[in-house]
Amino acid sequence: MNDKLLAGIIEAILFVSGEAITPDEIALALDLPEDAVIHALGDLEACYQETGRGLSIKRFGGKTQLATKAEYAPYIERVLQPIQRRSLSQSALETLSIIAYKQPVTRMEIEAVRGVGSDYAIQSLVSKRMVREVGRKDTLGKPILYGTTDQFLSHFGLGDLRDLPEIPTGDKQTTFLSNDQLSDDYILPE
Amino acid sequence: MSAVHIHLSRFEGPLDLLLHLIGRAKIDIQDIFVSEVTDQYIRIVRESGEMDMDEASSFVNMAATLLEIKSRAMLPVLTDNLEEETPEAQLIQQLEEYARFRQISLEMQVYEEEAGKSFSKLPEEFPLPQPEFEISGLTLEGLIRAFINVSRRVLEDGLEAEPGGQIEAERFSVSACMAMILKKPRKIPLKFSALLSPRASRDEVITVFLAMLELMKQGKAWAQQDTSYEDITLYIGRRKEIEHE
Repeated sequence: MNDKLLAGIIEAILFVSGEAITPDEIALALDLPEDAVIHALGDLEACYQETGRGLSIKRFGGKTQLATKAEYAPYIERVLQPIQRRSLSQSALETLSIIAYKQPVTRMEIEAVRGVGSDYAIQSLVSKRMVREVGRKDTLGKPILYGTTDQFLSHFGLGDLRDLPEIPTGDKQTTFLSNDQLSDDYILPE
Repeated sequence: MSAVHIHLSRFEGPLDLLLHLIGRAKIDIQDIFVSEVTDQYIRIVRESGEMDMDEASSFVNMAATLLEIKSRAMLPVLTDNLEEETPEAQLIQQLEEYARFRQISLEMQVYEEEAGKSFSKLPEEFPLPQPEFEISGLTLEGLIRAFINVSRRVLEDGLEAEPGGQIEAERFSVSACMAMILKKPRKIPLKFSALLSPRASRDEVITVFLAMLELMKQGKAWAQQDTSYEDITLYIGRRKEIEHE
């Protein structure tokens, strides 16, 4: 199977799928090595980057999705009038950024930063599937730990958590925890 | 400072309000305690009048913290306490941390807006085709033979397929079976199979079984079965009395 053919097949699969899928899923279905699929996705992406193409490959959390190019948004909105993008409220955004940088994090820890009750903001983020429960902290009361979802990455156009904007540095070292720095004092869900 | 009326509901909490006041006073977070900001804060909370309790508590709590800090500043400080992190330092640290995340959330808003310009579509829906049944190896002869077999079985069972059929009266009732069981000797093991007539119908088996369950529920009998499908052993009487003996 030549490269162009494979890129075409993958394009067709992504079109029909609509939702984000992993290269692994495509490879399994086509009975091809994952590398070949990843390579073909790269070809397809390069192809889309040329002018005269309206689509782009969107990647987040190891998944791939077909999406329109951002620069064509004004034209799309002219045809499809009622595209209503609901952006998050200030309190939801604050809460979400704390969760994004400090995950896994408990409600109490979030509230300690914001200085205000955040239960409602967290619940609304959970219902919008931006945030999910990732486990329980191994401490008194076993509080729920929250973390971000792939939906969150997609909503903010991030490939993964490393694409988050850098924290402005203050005099004190920030308390940012990267995923590999996670300590043992939390337990993952079974 | 100007007497601009500030609505607390505009702020995301006490830290947000403090940062707003710090920004308006054009000072650094570090200098909050040598500025008028804390006094302003306390005044704003005091003058805000009626507040929603949920919303107000965090603002009032902060006002209390600020007042505490103020009152402590008027007292002489014991030297051996200097090592400890002062409430001032704690609050400054909290404000700085919050300011960082507020800044981040503004940047995230830009990301959100940018990402929202790219659209994707929902998955295609494919209605599943009607399932087809493939019937192979069926001949007309086979069909006729199958029909004859069924008819013969109906005749053998004496169940004539008369239109309308016949509905038999109930021959067994749960209450009658319960009475039958209770007439058996008490406190000695009885086999469930022995409660049934020699060629019991399905109807009879089910009714006797239900009668047994009802007696157990009423505490008038108890049963034991060590393994599945084994014959059930039934005792008439209360379990405690029986186990005692």
